[in-house]
Amino acid sequence: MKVVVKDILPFQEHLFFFAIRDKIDYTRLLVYSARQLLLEIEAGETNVSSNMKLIVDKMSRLFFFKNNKYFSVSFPFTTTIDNKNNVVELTTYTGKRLDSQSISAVISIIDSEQFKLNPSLIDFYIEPNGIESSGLLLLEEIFQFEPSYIRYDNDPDNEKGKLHPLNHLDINYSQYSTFKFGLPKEITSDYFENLQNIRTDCSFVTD
Amino acid sequence: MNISNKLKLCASCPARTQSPEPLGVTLKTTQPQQTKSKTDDKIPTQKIIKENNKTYKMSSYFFLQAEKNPANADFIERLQAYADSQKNLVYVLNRPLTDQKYSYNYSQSLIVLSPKNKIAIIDYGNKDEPFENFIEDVLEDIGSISDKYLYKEVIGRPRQWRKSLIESEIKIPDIKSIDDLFSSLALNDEGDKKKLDLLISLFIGSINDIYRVKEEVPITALDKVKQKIQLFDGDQTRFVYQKPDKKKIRIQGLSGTGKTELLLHKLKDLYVSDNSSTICFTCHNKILSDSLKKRIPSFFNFMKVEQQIEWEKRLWCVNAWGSGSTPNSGAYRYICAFYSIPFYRYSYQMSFSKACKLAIDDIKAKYSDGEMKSAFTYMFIDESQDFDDNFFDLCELVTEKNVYVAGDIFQSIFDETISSSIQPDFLLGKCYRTDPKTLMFAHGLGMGLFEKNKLRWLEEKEWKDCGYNVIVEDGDYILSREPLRRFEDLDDDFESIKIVEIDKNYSDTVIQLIQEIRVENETVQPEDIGIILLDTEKNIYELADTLEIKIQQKIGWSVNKAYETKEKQPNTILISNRNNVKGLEFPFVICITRAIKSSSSYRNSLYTMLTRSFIKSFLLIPDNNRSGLTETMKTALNEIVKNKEMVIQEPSEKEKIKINTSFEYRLKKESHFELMMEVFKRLKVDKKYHDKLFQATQQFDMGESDKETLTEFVRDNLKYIKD
Repeated sequence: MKVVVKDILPFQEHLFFFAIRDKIDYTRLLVYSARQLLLEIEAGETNVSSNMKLIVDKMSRLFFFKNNKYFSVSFPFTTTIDNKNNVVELTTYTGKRLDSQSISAVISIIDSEQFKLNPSLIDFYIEPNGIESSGLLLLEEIFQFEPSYIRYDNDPDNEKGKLHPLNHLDINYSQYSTFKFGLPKEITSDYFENLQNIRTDCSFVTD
Repeated sequence: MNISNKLKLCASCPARTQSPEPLGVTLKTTQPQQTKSKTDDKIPTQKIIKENNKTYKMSSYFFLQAEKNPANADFIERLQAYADSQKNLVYVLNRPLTDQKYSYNYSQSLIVLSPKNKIAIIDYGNKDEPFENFIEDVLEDIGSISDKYLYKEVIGRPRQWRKSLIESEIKIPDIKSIDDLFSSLALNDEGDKKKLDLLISLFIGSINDIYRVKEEVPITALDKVKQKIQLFDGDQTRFVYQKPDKKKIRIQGLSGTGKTELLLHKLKDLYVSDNSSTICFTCHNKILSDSLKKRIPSFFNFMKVEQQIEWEKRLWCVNAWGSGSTPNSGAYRYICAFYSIPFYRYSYQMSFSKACKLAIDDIKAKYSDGEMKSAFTYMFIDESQDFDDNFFDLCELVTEKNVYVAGDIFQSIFDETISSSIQPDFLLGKCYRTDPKTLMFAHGLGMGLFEKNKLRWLEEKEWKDCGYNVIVEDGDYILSREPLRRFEDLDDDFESIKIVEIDKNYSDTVIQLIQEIRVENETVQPEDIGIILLDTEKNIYELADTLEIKIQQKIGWSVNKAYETKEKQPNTILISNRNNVKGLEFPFVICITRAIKSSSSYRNSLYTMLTRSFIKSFLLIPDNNRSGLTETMKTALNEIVKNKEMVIQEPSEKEKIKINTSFEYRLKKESHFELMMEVFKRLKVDKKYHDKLFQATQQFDMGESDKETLTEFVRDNLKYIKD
């Protein structure tokens, strides 16, 4: 089992903790996470209150923790780590490499006005624009991934009986497919991880 | 200086001064050489030779917009001689230039403007009452212009500045010498000088943003340069106010000579004065066209243009190519839509030049027997060095009136044809962006002038076209540049360029440098600094990512990676590779490289990136023997900072031949495919290997590489290819 934990510095929190509503948000989260995993980051004297954790154990998922909010998505890349547990290489299952350059290329495409107006890659294939080429192939592949988004919510403000229990899991992000699982009590981050690890015992719906 | 060299200089000057002056009607009648010997009799002979040798370029110090006649000719010529020899800006006008709607009834007076001196309004017609009325009218109009541009808050009402800044009692016969004239007009108070600069800018229409310039007198180096009041020089004023006598107007200069700004002034003039005109402003890349598109409304706003900007009806500001899905996304794209002709997209077989050529043919074929409508009334092309003639021809074909083409004097410092290229209509010699010391060192480093084997050599005329003063002495070229008004308030020995040797890691060195800049300049903002990664290797992106985090963590500034956002953003420090900084400038530029390479594309980037600063450039390079940084380079830099000149030994004829043949630099003119085909031909590569090698270049992201690099790549890889 590979486990890599990375601090998320306060000024980076907006890159990871935002409302995921579509595949493009998922893509953004994925590439920012890949970048975070590849970089050496020293918190030093900075106060850190959130982190991310990559767990590869048959499944390959990313977990994000901040106070009592946890969420998790799939991370379908091949991760190579060295003996100091540093991530040295990330590739897609077809062998395309994620590095600082291709990640920037992905970001430059999904953040461009052109893509926001018309989320299609077709114009990027035809436009002559150096750096984007490495991002295109990567994006194509990411768009085929299954995001498998799960979020644990402890939300006293919006609590509403069994319709919106205080503790619940939100599964999937799109409005047309998301649903909740109520939880009888608060859960720990370990429990949240275990829930999604197929090598550990299953949890049961007891209703 | 030995005698033969003196003669050489002498011999070259009459040809220069008597050759038809391309820069303006007003200058044709002047004969600086004669006037100089008349007025400056105190200057020793040798000095005159030197000065006269420079006369050709010196016109940037003098501007004349008044009829010359027997009553004033002598005085005007003496003023010009003074401006040229003292290197002081002098404008001689018969009326304010800013707003053409005002008219005046009296023509026998001259308005003499020169920074640091009171404005002299001189009557040479000896008609007291009409002259008095003329003064009243001019001051009233300047007062109202000052109100319009919000200057009044800073300079006050005419009654306030009239007393201290205007002199109208002088008569031409009383002027003994121009020196005396200006010493009687000299201002001493810094506040007055600042107000005067603002007044001059109102007379010549070189409007400054009053909020940038501010009221108080600045203290730090950064603020002094940022708040310096900018005035058009002679050449620039001529470009803005002269009516063109042909369709295509070319304006050329080194980057940073203010070409874009001038285009904007002209654009505003045409947009306002010709209500039915349609105008297209274009350049090669999108990041620049986007920034221009944002710049136009703010420029129009502070020029107090009352008309609305009708985007995509009267005014287009787009990059040249554009995309298939949106007709208004590019100049070429729009032209294709306008004439209903096929639009070609980029591919390895389709260069922009070819696409333009096809468009010309299509349009001509379609309208061979009928009247062709014009797509635009005027076109403006910026950064013209990115294009070749096919695009200009296309623009000329579809434009009704004028095409204004502004570009750098060379595509790159390795361009083979600097002086033999078409003579521009306006040649801007002075680089206003960068401190001359920075520019000199950047040229020297870029061309390899401080190395044993120079990479590039310019001949005397080419050096002069690039704005250099050249003295040849015993086979040495002594190169210097005119000082600039923009930097006159900085200390004389201000180090505008510095080599920083990296002894720990790259990112920490950058952080330390930013911290130092902040200590020296309290008012520095994140957007005042640009970090440029000069290398093309992949690891620059890693460095950028690391820097992004460290800058946020240790400095607390937000970071904008230009290759992700493709735009300059306020309140962020910009990090870019060398492809996304065109047209951008910063007070401080930090250029980072692992080693000084010898490829022409690298050297050209090195030169252009170092000259993106208007206060200080830093070159960060490792402290080791592989970095290519030599003692000679460091010494050269010290000399430039100390003496403001560089002394370069002229290469022998044999060396020159070697230099010239080693660079066939044709950046961007050919597509990657065409370049590769040429390389294959040159290296006689068997056709069956083409595809493999072609794919290899794509895998290594070499789509933008130049021919030299590709040749090297193909040669190296050829031996490993198996059948």
